[in-house]
Amino acid sequence: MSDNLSPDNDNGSWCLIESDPGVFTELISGFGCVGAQVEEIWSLETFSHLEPIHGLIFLFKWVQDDVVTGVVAPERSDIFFAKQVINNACATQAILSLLLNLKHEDIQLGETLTNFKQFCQQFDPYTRGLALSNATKIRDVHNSFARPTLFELEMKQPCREEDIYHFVGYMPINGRLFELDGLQEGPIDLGEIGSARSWVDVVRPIIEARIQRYSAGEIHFNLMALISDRQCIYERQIEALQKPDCMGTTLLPEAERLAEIGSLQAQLKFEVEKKKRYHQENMRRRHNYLPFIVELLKQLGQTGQLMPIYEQAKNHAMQRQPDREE
Amino acid sequence: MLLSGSTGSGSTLIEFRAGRMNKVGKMVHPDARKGLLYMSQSEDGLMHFCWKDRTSGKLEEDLIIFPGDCEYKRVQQCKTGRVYVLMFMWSPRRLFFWMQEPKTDRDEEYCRRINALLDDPPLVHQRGGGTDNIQLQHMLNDMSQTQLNQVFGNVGQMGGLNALLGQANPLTPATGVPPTASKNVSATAKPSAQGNCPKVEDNSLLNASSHVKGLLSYELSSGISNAGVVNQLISDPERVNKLIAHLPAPEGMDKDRKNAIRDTLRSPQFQQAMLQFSNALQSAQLGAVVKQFQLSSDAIDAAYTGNMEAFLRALQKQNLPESNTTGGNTEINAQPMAVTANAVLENSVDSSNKPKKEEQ
Repeated sequence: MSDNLSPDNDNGSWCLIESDPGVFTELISGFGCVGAQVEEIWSLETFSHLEPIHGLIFLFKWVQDDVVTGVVAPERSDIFFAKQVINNACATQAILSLLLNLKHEDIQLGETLTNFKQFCQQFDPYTRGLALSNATKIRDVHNSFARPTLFELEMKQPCREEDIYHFVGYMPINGRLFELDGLQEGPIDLGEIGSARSWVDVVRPIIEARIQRYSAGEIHFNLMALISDRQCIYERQIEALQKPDCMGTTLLPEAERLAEIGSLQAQLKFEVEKKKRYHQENMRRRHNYLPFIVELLKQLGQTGQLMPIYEQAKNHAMQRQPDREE
Repeated sequence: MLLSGSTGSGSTLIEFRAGRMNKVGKMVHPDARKGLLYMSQSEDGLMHFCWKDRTSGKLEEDLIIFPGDCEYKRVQQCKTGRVYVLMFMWSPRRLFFWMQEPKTDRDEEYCRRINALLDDPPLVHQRGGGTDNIQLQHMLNDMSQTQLNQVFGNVGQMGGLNALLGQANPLTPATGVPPTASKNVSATAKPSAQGNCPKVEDNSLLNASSHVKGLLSYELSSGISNAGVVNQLISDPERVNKLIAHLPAPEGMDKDRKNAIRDTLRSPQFQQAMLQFSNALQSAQLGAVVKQFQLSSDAIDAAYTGNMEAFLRALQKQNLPESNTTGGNTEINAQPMAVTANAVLENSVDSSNKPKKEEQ
C-alpha cells in the first residue's frame, strides 16, 4: 500500500462502475471477502427472506440540501468511518463502509480488507478516505468492473465533474443504529435498537422517509442490501434436514421434511443460476466488443441487411427530430 | 415514446392473467385484483400494452410503445419468481406485474412473446405521430454535461446500461438516452469538406445536428438487435462461428451458440458498445481504429470523415457478392443471399430523389 496519501487528481484513477447487485457481489469476492452477497431491494416489506441483513446502502446523486437526520457521533474506536474523497470510488466505499464494520460468523473479510482496516485504524476519517483512494489492490478490483475503452480517442475530452454520486449506509453496530454517510463528518447515531425488535424495523421508517424525499424530487437511486451468501445458507439448511434427527431439531413428519428440502433446493438452484448470470454479465462488461461489432457489420453487409437497417434507422431518427440541423 | 390513448378497435396479439403491483415511492405493493395483461395493435398500427381489471372490466393501463422503448423481464429478486417488470428506456418508471395464470409452464413463453412484440411489432404501415418529439426533447434537456460526455467515448468513464433499462442507477448516468453532443464534441467532430455540399438534398446526415446523430446511433443499435434481423443472420452456422470468435470465450462454449449471439445482441453491454461505436464513427474518431480491420479504402475514408452512411454503404458494397468492388477483400461470400430490393438499389449512386423504402 502506498505511503503517499494524496490523491493523484480529482478522481485518482478510479473508474465509474455500475451500481448493480451482480457487480457488487463479485466486487466483494474480488476483494477477498467470503460469504457476502448484495441484493437490490424493491420493497421494504418483503425482504425477510433475505435475512440476515447486515446493512443497507442507498446510492444516489447528491443534492445540496440533503437533510441530516441525526447527530454526528463523537469518534469511536469501534466504528470504522471514512470520508468520501473520490467520487468514482463511491460504490466501493459504500460497500466497505458496511464490510469494515461487520462482525458476523457468515462473513470473512479476507486478507486485503483486514490489512486495509488495520492500516487505517489510527487515522482520522479524512485520512482514511485518502488511504482508500490509494489502496491499489482495492482500486484494481474496482476498476476491473469498468467497461473497457473500445478505442483510444485521438482527442481526449476534458473530464468534467458535474455529477456527484453519494452513498449512505445503514447498519447496526454494537446495539445501535448508525447512518454512515461519507459526506458527513462522522457516523450518525440513530438510536438504540433494543432487544425487542430487529434493526430492520428500526431503520424502516428512516429509509421510507428518504425514499419519499427522493421520489418527490425525482432523484434516481438504488437501494441495496448486504446479506449473507444465500447459496451457503440453503446448503446448510438442506444438510441439516438431511442429517438423522439427533441434533435436537424438531422432528418433522417425513413428508414435510422432504417438501422443505425440495423447496430449499429450488431456492438453491435459483441462487446458483443468479450467480451464473452475474458472472456472465460481468464477463460482458469487461469484454471489448469492437471486433465483434465490425464482424457483425461486415456480415450484415453480406446478407444485404445493412443498408436497409440503416435507412430505417435514419428515417426514424429524422422523424423524431425533423427540422433541427446545426 | 409513451403516449396514452384509446386502443380503438385493435387486434389482441397476446393476453394472460396477471395482477398489477402499485408503486408508492420506491416500494411495490401487490394489488390483489384479478387482471389481464395484454398487447394489441390498433388500426393505426400502434402497439398497445394494456392492463385491465377483470372484475370491473376497466382498462387501467394503456401505453403506446415503440420498438426499443421497453423491455419486459422477470424480477429475479422475487422469491416466488412470478413477478415481471416492464422497464422503460427513457425513464426510471417501471410497471410491475404478478402472474395469475394457475400454471407456470407458459410464464417464460409469455415473457418472450411480449418482448418480441415490444421489439418487433407486426408490419405497420405508418409510425406514430410527432408528439413524442416533445417528450424526447424534455428528457434530453435534463441530461447533464457528464451524461452527454459519457456517450461520446469518455475514456475509462463508461457507465452501464442499467439506466437505459430504467433501473434508477446513480452511478451510471443514463448513457442509453440518445445523446446530444457536448460542446466539446461538436467542436472536435469535423465533418470534413462539406461546405460545398448542396444542403437541401444531403441525405447522409453528415451535416445533421449532433442531436440527430445521437438518435441515429440509438436507432441503428435498435435496428441491429432486432429479432428478425438477428435470426436471419444466425441461420447460417458459418456466420455463427465467425461471430462467436469475437465473443468472450465462455459464450462459445454455450451449447446453444445461436442463443449466445442473440443474448449478446440484446445485452446492455453490447448495446452500449454499439452506441459508442456509432457515435464515435459519426464524430470522425474511428478512422485510425477501423484501419486495423480488413475494410475497403472507401470504408476507411468514410470513417475518417465521420460519414456513417458512406461507411455502411462501403461495407455492404465490399461484402455483397454482386458488387463490383475493386478493393481486394476476403469477405466475399459465394453463397446466394436473400438480397432485398433495397440492397440492390444501394449499389447505384445515391442521388437526391431516391425513394425511401421502409424495411420491416
